[in-house]
Amino acid sequence: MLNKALLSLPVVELAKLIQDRSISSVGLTQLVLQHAQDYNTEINAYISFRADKALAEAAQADAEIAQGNYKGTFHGIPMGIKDNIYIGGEVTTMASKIHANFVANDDATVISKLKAAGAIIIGKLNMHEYAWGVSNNNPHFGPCHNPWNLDKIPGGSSGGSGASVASGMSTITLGTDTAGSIRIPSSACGLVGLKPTHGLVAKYGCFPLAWTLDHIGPMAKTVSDVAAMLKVIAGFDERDPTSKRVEIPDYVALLDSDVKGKVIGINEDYFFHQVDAPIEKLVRGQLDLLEQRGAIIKKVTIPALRNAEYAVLATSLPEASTIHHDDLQQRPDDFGDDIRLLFELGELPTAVEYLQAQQLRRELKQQFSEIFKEVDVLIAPTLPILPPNIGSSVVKLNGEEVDLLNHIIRFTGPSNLTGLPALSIPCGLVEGQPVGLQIIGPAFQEQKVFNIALAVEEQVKFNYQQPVLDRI
Amino acid sequence: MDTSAVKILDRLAIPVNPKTQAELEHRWKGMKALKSAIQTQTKNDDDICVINTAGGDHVK
Repeated sequence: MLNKALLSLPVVELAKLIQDRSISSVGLTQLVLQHAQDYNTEINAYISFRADKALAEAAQADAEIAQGNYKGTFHGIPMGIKDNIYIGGEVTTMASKIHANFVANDDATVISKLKAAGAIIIGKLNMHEYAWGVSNNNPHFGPCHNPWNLDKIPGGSSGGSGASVASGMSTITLGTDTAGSIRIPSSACGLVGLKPTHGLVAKYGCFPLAWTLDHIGPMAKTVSDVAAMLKVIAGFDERDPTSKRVEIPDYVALLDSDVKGKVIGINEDYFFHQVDAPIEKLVRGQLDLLEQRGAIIKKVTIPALRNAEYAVLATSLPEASTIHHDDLQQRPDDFGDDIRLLFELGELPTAVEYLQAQQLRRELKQQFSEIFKEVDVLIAPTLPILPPNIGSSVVKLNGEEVDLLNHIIRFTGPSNLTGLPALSIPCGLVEGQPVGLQIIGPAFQEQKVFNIALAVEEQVKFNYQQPVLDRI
Repeated sequence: MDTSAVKILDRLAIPVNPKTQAELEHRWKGMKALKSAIQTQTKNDDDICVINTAGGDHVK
């Protein structure tokens, strides 16, 4: 068995070892699989493993590389995938009872692209049921635990994605994000996670939560890994009606952490309002460091943000309930209580209220577009709070108990409404738990987001850091 | 008109989960409170964010 130290390396480093054949894909896949299976009882990041298929695919990758047919960074790299993304001919559960035996005919677009890049999928990852929640406290497959503190939630809905990469149970992964479900677990688990621009990554073959807000994106240990993954999964697919034809740059080659002269916007009224003090201190500390390196910090106002919380709810709730309407009428007891509540709530707004929310959303988009004429990116905390204990519906914010659901999506939801790219990157620890800093950029300009993120990564020196699994 | 969540769902033939009925009413009241606080400038036809793309999803 290979050295376990490999489990903490980012993909771009592992790729070099596979390319020069210092290690084999089979060896690495065996290592990650064994580690994931050893720790799954405690962390519960995986719903299922596909060990035999993964090892066969890894052997094929090794043979291709030996023949000189190296495909690039992801060739022979083992990873888990969130269980709402289809692998053709195999079960995709959506972490639900209702879809427990669902088998899709086709691969999702992102799976096709990863397979073409030579990636090895070792299993399907736990998630909040139907991706409709932030705790990953799943009634059918059990709660997923945060490897930084097993009593805490890993965030959601992509909780298994966050927990698996943070603990070395996956080298990198994909999440899905409708109101923050990539960025919330990335913040809670100490990862870099990107919700790309809406339309950049095709969603064909991903079970929808709320059509107009859903995104697929990478979750990884470093900015470089996220950039490399985006290059693979981005691109037009006519099977997704929201997919856009845009040029996909070589994000990794273009990475540049020089922030001199870059204008970073901060919005005090919304993104720095009601933030737990230690979190705010960490984020502002990074802004100070960026300014010392030559960035220009500019305060901006975005008045339409005051309507964002309502617009997120009045859009996401009815869209999700539309998808599950028949099951809610006919077999409501097969849903977990928490998401059944949200599906009930989503039946209540009128059609007029849904459309009014779309008007608010357009106003928000227009104001963000104006702001990005003045600034390169916006920076904010990813979350205003630390992740609570598993099972808790409330959380402490500056000493006061507040509703978890309302607050945890407050800073992430607006970028689902606007569709703009938003990335969470670790900026330190509070009470031993990771804290995320969020970078929001203009549409289809992920490179701007990556470059500022790379600067933050250099400042924080958090990359490669993983929780010590000493309680297990 | 009664705007309680339970009454609305009853009209829609959706059985309400008795375990979460109180929370449902609480969250519905919260949404209505958020709506009553909306401040917006743009309510014209051209600000509607629903698009009708003739010729299919992707026009070349």
